[in-house]
Amino acid sequence: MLGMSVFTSARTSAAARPPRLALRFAVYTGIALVVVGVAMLWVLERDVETRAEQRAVAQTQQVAEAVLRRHLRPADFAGRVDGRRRAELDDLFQDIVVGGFVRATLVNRNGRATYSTDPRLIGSQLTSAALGMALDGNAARAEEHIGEMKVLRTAVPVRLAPGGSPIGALSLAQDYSAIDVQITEAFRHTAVVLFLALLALWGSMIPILRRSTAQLHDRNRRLAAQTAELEQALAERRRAEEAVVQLAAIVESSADAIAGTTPEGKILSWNSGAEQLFGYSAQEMIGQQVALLVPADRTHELESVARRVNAGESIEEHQTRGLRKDGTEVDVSLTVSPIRDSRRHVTGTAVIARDITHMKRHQSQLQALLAKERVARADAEAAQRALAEQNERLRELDRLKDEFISLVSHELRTPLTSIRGYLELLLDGGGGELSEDQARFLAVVDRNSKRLMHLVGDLLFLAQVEAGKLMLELGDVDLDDLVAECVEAAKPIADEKGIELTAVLEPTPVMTGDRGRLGQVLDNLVSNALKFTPEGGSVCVRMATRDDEAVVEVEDTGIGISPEEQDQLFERFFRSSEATERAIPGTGLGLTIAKAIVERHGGSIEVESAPGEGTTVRVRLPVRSEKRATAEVAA
Amino acid sequence: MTLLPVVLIADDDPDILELVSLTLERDGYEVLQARNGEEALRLAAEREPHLAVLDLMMPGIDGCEVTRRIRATENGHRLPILILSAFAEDRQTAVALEAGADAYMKKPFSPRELLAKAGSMILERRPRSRLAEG
Repeated sequence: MLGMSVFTSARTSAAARPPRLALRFAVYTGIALVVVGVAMLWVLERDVETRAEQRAVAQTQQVAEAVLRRHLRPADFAGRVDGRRRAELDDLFQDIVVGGFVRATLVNRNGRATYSTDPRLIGSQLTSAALGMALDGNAARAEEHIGEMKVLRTAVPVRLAPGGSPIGALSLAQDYSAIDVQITEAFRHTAVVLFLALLALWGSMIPILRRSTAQLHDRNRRLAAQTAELEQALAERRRAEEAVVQLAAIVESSADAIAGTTPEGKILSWNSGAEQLFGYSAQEMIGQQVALLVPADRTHELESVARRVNAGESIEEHQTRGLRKDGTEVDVSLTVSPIRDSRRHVTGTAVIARDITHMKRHQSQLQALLAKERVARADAEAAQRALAEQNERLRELDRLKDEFISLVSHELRTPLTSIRGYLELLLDGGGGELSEDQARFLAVVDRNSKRLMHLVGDLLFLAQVEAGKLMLELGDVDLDDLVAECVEAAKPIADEKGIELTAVLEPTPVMTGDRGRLGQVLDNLVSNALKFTPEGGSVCVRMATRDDEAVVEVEDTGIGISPEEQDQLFERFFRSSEATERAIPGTGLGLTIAKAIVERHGGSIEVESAPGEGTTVRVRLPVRSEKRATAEVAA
Repeated sequence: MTLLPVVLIADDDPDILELVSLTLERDGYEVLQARNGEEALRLAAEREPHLAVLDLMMPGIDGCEVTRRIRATENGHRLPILILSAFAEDRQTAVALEAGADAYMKKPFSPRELLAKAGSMILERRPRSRLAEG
């Protein structure tokens, strides 16, 4: 209960304080006090017991000396007392007020009981240690049992005169419980007093305890705070040291040259990068002037840089040249910054120099490349412009060609129309009767104007073919019919030249095509054959059908054409050397046109010839399958 | 008042104008000559010819446009129109047929062919069928 109250009060009075400490303190002091108390009680108990026994002895002695001496007689120890005397002694001992008195016995020197308050003992021989001592002259006491009762026996010697030898002994038995009660009471009082004293002591300790715990607590707190501060400071210090180490390592391992100088230019630090770049070791350079590293022609630069940095300015990537130990120069990029103290005063400079030899070289290479690229680009652009101009010219030419076709078409045909028209009027007698010569001359004009007309027509036709503008007027064509017509028309010329012209026909399916154009092809081939066949020769037109195609062959026994020239036969304006030599008229456009028309119909044309023996031109045209022909023509 | 069929001829080339005129006059037609499109339109409106022979390429109003304007007049649809074209390509001449011409003839043409075509066109009185060249 007490502990609890201390605990709760400590807790309520200072909730922030750790209650456990106060509680523990209270328990420890409590236990210590209880142990002290118990020890004290034990000592006290012994003391009280001894005192009580001593008092009992003293009482008995007093009884013996003060009371009995006056009443006891030596005769009382001589032998068994008689009845009268016994009654007197009974009365005497009746009056003795001794706490817990049980019985009294008188014993003679022989140890025989001469009198006892218990009549049964009178005359009996008594032996006990205490009694023996008393008979020897010393008071003694002993705890004995009389029946069930624990008694304290006190034996005192009885002397006739002080200092004389005892004539017997008086033995008094006291009920021990009576003494015990006294002892227990004394003990209880003492214990209560002790307990109260301890309690007071302990109680008085509580405020002290609380104060000291609070002080301890505060001190702990302060200590903890100080420890934390210390640890933090330590950690910071460690970090700072690590940073310094790292910075030093960075500076040392940097490939750039890093040096520290005084404002006056005296070198204070010199890293390995600087050793490599300039060739001086740190030992050689520290304490030297930075001017040692500047080529003579750059001294003014150093002065200007020093002035600016000492004025607090930073210089970044200033490109200049440095002087090496071996006297060679090196391209460097300088970064120079002022070093300031805590009052912002410039106390030195930090110099970083970087080797830019490679960069310079690369720069010049790059510039050369860029220049080349510019030139190449300009060339490319010029080429592109030229190409564009050329394209433009080509488009212009194409347009001019179209215009030319129109022009030729219109401007050549119009005068030809007049020439042909009026010529026809004249020949028809519209200008009056013609003389024989007039008629002959006009026939020449007529023939040549017709040639001119055909030439213009052929040219325009070819121009159309090449421009992809050849249109076919499609319809059903009976090739047999067409061949027969063509041969019939050519008959007069053949007869005139004495050439045998024959046609071998075979019924052929109707094909889809442009009848006029196909007729033009046949006319051309037949007239060519007649043209190149000498008098007395023969021309044969054969018509046959194989599978899906009709084959038309025009065979002559003419002058033929050499194999070299056969390849050129279908080229525009090509004329064989024979034709030129023999002055056979022609434009060299006929076969070109024939080929264009045949191919437009989905067919093909080929030539077989042996010089001096004759020529066969073979035309193949798709027939029967109308759909296929239509599709190919349309394409 | 004449009983001869009247033919309107328009061409900017005087030689061809004369050639066509001669050809037709010799065959008994009365000819109206126009040197350009405006004149042709005026004569067509004034004289109501039986046939018009128009050159396709004329400065100013060309044969196509003359055809279009004649067709746009009240009696214009009745007049047979023959176009003379110096163009080599049918494509260019076809435009004239789309404009309302009845037939075309490519230059150079034969005077005999022209007479035959003119005669048949007047007889058929605006035949709707397309007449093939010579």
